[in-house]
Amino acid sequence: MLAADGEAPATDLGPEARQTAASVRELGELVRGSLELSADDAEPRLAGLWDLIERRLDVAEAPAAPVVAPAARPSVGARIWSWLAGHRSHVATGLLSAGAVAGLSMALGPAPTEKVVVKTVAVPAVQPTVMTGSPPSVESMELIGGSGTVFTIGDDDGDGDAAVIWVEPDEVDLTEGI
Amino acid sequence: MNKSMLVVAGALVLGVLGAPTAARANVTCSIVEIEASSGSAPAIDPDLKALEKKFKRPPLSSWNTFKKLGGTSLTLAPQQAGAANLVHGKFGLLLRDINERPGKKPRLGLGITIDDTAGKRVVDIKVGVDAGDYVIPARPLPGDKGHLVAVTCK
Repeated sequence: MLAADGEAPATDLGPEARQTAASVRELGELVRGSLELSADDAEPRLAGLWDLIERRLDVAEAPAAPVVAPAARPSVGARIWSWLAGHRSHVATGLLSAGAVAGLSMALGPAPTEKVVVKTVAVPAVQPTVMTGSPPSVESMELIGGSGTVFTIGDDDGDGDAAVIWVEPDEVDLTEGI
Repeated sequence: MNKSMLVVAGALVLGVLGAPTAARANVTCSIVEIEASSGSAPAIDPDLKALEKKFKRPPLSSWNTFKKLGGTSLTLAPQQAGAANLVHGKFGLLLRDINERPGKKPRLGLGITIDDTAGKRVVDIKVGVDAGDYVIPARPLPGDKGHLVAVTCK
């Protein structure tokens, strides 16, 4: 085998071995030629396969695109503040105008009217106050030519007391002066 | 501003001027002249309805017929006097004072005078009477008739 592979000199072989080594060498040539033909036939396909592998390797080795985080949505207050900041002059003008109108209306407008709320409240019945009185009294009585008697008539049913001053003329004394 | 000050000043002036008027209480007195007699059937003048019950009490119950001869009213302030002519003479009234009492009717001090047709003073009395009460001076007339003057003040 060494002689067939060319690693040992063929001179050291016998005639029979020399023949065998030549056969092995020929057989090797045949196998090598067959394999080269097969390799030549498969070369275009292998070349395409290699390109495919290369592309895949390129894709795998390519740096991943940076993941961009979605921008955080601003809150309602921030949006309002942003809007106000953007319209600062308009807002200031509006506030100034409203203040001026309010001041004018307070200065020139009618006085605020009181709001009267009528509520019905159940109140326990109150007994009517009875005005007490006292009967008429005669402090002085001067009757010329007679005498008087005072009669008091009581209050019958709310029509008031009455003082009747009965004046009785003196009878003429016919014996007077006799 | 000046307008408001004028309004306030006007209110103050009116208040100052009106205060004495509000403090002075006037009293209105009703005077009714009545002729009483005795008839076969009782008869009371419809205008005397307010006194009907008193006519049925002594001493007025000695008559059964009451006729209104006339009537007038006098509005007096304290210490103010008034007068009215009667069919049978002349009537004089003096409001001496008014005594306001809490929870009671005002007490009125009255001075009443009656002159007969000849001008002779027959009645001169001073009475204290509650507002709404009656004072009825009565004297006889010829023919068993009576002359009544009913006075009430409120």
